[in-house]
Amino acid sequence: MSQLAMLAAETQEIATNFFFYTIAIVSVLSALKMVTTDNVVHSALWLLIVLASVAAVYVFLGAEFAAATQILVYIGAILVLLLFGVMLTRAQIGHEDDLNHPQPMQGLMVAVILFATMVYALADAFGTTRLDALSEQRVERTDAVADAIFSTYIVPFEAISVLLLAALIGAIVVARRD
Amino acid sequence: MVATLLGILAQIEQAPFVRPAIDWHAVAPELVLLAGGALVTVFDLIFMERGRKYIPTLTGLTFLAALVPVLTLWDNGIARSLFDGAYITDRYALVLKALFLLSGYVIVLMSTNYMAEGDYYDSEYYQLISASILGMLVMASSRDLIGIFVALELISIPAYLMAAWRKRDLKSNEAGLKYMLMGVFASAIMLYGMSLLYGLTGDTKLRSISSAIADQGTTPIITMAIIFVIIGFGFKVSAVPFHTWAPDTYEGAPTPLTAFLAVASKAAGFVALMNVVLYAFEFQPEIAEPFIWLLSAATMTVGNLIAIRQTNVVRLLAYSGVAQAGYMLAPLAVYEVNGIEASASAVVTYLVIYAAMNLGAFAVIMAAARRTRSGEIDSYRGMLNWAPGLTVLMTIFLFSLAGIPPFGGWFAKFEVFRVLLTGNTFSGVSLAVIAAVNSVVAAFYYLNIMKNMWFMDAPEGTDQSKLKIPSPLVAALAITLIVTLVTGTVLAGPLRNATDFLAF
Amino acid sequence: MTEFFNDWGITALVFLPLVGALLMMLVPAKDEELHKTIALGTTVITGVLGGFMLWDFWGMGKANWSTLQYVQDRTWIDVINARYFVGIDGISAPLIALTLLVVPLVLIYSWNHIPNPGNAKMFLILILVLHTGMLGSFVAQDLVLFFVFFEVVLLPMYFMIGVWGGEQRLYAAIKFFLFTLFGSALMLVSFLALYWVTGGTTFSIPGLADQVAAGDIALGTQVAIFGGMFLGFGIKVPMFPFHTWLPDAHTQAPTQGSVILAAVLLKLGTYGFVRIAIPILPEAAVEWAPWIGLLAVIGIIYGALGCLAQTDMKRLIAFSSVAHMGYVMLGIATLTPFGINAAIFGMVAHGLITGMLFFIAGSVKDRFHTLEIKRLGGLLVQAPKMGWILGFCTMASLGLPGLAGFWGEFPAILAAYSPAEGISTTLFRVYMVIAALGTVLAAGYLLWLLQRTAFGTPSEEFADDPEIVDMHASEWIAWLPLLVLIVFFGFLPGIIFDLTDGTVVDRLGSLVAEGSP
Repeated sequence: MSQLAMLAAETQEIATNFFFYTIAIVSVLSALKMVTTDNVVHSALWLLIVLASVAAVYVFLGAEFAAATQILVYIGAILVLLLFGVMLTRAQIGHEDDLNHPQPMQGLMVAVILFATMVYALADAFGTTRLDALSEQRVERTDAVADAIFSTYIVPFEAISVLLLAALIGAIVVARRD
Repeated sequence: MVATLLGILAQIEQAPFVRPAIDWHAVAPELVLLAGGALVTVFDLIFMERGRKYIPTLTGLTFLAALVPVLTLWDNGIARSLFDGAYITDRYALVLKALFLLSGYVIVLMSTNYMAEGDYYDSEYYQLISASILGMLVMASSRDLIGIFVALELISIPAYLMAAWRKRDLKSNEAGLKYMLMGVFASAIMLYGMSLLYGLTGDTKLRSISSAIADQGTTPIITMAIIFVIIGFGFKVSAVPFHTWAPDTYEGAPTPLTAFLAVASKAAGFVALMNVVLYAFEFQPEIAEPFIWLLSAATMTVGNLIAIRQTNVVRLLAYSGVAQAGYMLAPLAVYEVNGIEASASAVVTYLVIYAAMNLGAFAVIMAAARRTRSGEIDSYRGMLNWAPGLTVLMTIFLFSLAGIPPFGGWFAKFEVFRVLLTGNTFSGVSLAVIAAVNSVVAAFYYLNIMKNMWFMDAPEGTDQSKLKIPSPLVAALAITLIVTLVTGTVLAGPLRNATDFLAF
Repeated sequence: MTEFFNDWGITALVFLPLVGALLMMLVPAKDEELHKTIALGTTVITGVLGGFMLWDFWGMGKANWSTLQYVQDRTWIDVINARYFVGIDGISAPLIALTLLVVPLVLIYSWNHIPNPGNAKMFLILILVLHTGMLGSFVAQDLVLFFVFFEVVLLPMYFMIGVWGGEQRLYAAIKFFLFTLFGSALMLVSFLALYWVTGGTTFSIPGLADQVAAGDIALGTQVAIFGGMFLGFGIKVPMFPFHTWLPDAHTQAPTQGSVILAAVLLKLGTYGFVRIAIPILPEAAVEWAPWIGLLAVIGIIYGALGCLAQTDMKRLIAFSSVAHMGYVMLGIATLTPFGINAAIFGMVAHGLITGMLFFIAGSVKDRFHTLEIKRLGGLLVQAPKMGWILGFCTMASLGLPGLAGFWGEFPAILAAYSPAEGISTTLFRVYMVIAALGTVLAAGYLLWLLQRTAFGTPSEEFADDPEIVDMHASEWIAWLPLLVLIVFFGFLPGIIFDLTDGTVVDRLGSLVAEGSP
């Protein structure tokens, strides 16, 4: 490999690392902001940034399909639904005193313990594993996903259609004003 | 621009789509139920109010019709495997499918009058029940993480909605909301564990996961994955300490739905737990067994201790159901020495008998509530006078739950004890001792209900005329009574044989 | 006929009462006469069928009595090798006869004695279920089957005490239930343990006995398993430290419940020793024998002293039961054919005599509305026939020669003189002396009872009570067979001894072969 190519690879890695850490820091800070803010709409918007940065991480991993799904489903559907919910049902949009849990320390403790356990377990298992750049296995092709859904996972897929219908019927009954 | 894109697309090699081979007979029960459910929906849309009163009957018939292919498959006897082992229809799955369909039928019978008289949206309710039972059928056959997860959600989401069905009652709203929040939380934990398993093995099929992690022992990541998955199912089967939703939900939900949650939904949770633990974690007993041991011991003990203090029959049955879940977990804590077949067959035997006796008890509660309008144990005083038949039935169901021969419950407990004691291991024997002590504790609060029914006089001003029970409820009582009686006596052997064919 | 007996006899016998109960469920509760007729009819038919079977059994002759007859051995729960295995032999025959006799008599008595709060339908159905449970326990030859029948007995009795009992009925019913449940749980555990240590191939009683005899199971294991059974059966008997449920249950139970409890249910415990514990685990029985004997004599003395302290007639009879069952257990503890034959005779005799005493107590209570001994008196004046019957029964109960009671007590005491090989003779001779002293005490408390209730003049409060009348017809019909049999077996005890002896020798197996007298 030529000097130039090595330099290019090195630069790419530095660049990748730089962007990854930027995204990671943004995502963690927004997550913290999301749980500490006392405005429910702001909270939803911070959540948007968290979800978007997760999508960005997918892009770095080469899982473009997952990234697209993340944006479509979480941001495009769920978050918008959440905002709709907030707008339609609650009068107060703005600062609220009792939005946060009165005892944040308990939650913090659980979060720290859970985080430490997960980091330990994940680092133990995958700490030294490296995905080979542009290898076959990391490219998840969209048509393969489609093929799997309509062959191996056809039963769960059909079950989900029933699930959606049932959820629709039930939601209408429960939400309906009568 | 477009041309370039099309050019790139053309370059991608198109892997040809292989049409999956589907054994239509194997999925016939699900298809019949699906078609029946769709028909009921269409029927409701066409006839609207005029057709309402036929909906329960039609739903019930759908369940019975779905039972027909289950029987033909049983008769056929061949284990059928679809999608490379992701969906299996063997005798184990068939026993469970029959159990789910019959429980569903009994629950429809129990719901008929309750729903018709209570100003609810009733035809929608039956559609949700059908959807949930369909999820159970899928669950019984799924041997794949995605299938199990989707089936679990298909079971749960209609149940969350139905728990809040009594819309004008705050307690019912609380029931639905609590159940949903807890259930979603559990799903999230479980999903995290499942994603770890997938990340470790690159496969979703339980068998493949099992062989992939077989030689990896107990690394932290595997431990975490297994424990997360078991915790997730622990919520579904209301194991202590994940049981907190159960009493409030049971009390607030419509009573037939409570029966549904306590029996069918719980059984489905057990099936999922059993499939995952026994299939995927077959070679990791050193993680799964102690954890389940703890869950089982805590579940039966805490469930019983809280049950003693209850004054409301529905809450009491809720906690006693928690305790019963502890007994059912017990065989899963010793699957290594016994082999997974023995553990699974003990659990399935228990599930079948538990379904009959618990549904029966709920049917009695519903019948009695037509007079008492309350679930307090006090209101059962003097029941011997105004409903002697119900009193005897309740006695039979409660004694069965307490595990006293000749009613089915004793055989269920007997099987659990047998499995626990067979290997003569410390964990098995100690759990058996805990279970035995708990059985005596449980007998105490069951006796308390009977004491009120048989020995106490009715409070002044109680209507002493004989109670009339609507015929669907009578049918539900008759079915559960017969099953409770025969499983403890003449059919104990055949039932045990039927579950012995479990082809793992 | 024999063919029918062989194929269906026992099954029909055991389940006929249940059929009657089902029939009664279809009849509306208002029609009490019809209920009584069905209940009585069923038990009489059962009794007649059983009578024919036992007559047929008798006709087979001594040589065949020790073999199980009318055996049915069918698959039941084959995965655990539990079978529907029933049969009759010399040990069970007298007890089956006793059951078949007592239940119809109780129903005759019930004709105009349905206790408060009424509801004849439920009351009679419970008695019929009880009938099935008792007969089933006596014919079962498979431990799982035996366990199921043993438990079936528990439930109706619990409700009889709890619904139709006296003031303290709730307490008594719960106590009865929990004690017995605890005992049977331990019993089940030891059955299961026995199943595994013998290799998990059978639950049949003869089969297990053979396997234990052939196998090399550590003595410690055997002793532990016997201990579990000892607790289970000992609570039912009841033996001394576990007896506390009995006085409460007897006192609070309705008359019918007391009679069935005394006449049949208590025998399930002693029968369990004779049928199950000792034949299967003879070596462990030898280890346990001194302790059983000790508890038996403590029971005799304690029961007698307890009687002297009682102020309530029914409670007194209940305590006398503890003492009498002590003699039965002493006979069993000797582990000799002689002692066990005496014990079985004691069971039958106690069933007849104590059953009678509870009948009388019930009738006294009906008339005087109290059983407090202090307030009673002069029964011979107000109701002379009943007074004489009471006198007769107390004589029988204290073991007067010529009446049935004697043949239960005296041979049991005599048997303690030379217990089986391996048991301390000195110890048992001490037991013998104590037991003999017990008979004196028994005479004391029974005569004291008789003197204070039957003799003397009626107390003022009852002197002119019009309710106090002499015997009703239903009382005569119900009591006469018992009275006749007490005399009959007093003169011809050999009938029962002949019946049981061969079987007992056969079942004791190694204990006899080792050369005890």
